[in-house]
Amino acid sequence: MERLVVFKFNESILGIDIEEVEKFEREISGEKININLKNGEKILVEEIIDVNFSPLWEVIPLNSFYKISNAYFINKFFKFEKKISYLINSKKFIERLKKNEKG
Amino acid sequence: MEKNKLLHIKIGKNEFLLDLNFVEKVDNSYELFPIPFVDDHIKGLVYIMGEIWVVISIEDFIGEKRVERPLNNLIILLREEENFIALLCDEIKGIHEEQIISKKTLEMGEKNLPLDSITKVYVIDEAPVYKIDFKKLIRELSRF
Repeated sequence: MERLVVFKFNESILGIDIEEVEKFEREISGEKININLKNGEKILVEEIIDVNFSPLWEVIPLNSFYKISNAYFINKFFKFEKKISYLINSKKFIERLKKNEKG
Repeated sequence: MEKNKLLHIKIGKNEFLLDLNFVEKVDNSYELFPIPFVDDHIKGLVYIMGEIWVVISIEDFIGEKRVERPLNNLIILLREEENFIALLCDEIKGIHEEQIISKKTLEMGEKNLPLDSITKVYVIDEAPVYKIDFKKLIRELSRF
């Protein structure tokens, strides 16, 4: 079973497989936290909410979601403190993040 | 002559009709969970009846300037086989039998919105009301 690092990003609660994470680093300003990944990439997040979280997965038909949202960086859904949260594919998420930053 | 029952709803300044056969539920007590990096018309997800529904704003999809008003408080859950979505809605205006309202229609294009899934424009209480074909709407919203 996957164990996740659960974090807050743009008001969403996301999770990433703990095996992909190298370390956490607080930004110099102290406002945000960098999740440093083993592949050298970083994700700047608002808050680390939980570490080593074992989710109960919500299985949903993929059709409705992916067909409409194009959010391919989301792999699965899980519930965290009664909220719907997302397990991300870090590679696809970072691609999307960079694309977004370029505008 | 069709005998469909249609749900009459108001979204922003426009009114729409949806085939009641595809309407599963109207809900006003949902919690919306946003999704990062998606188009503006995708407002997030809701968890209702043990399922996760993508919430769509038709107003944003057609690029209408948002009318200043309190946040939408209703969602219409629509399903057709494996496709299901939730539409943000401001008001339920009523239910009509299509054979009754079909007496007064506008020509397509006469008063149209940029939404391909509109199949007819009826006139109810002197206002244009757009009938949306749900299957076409799913195709229109789909990214592939």
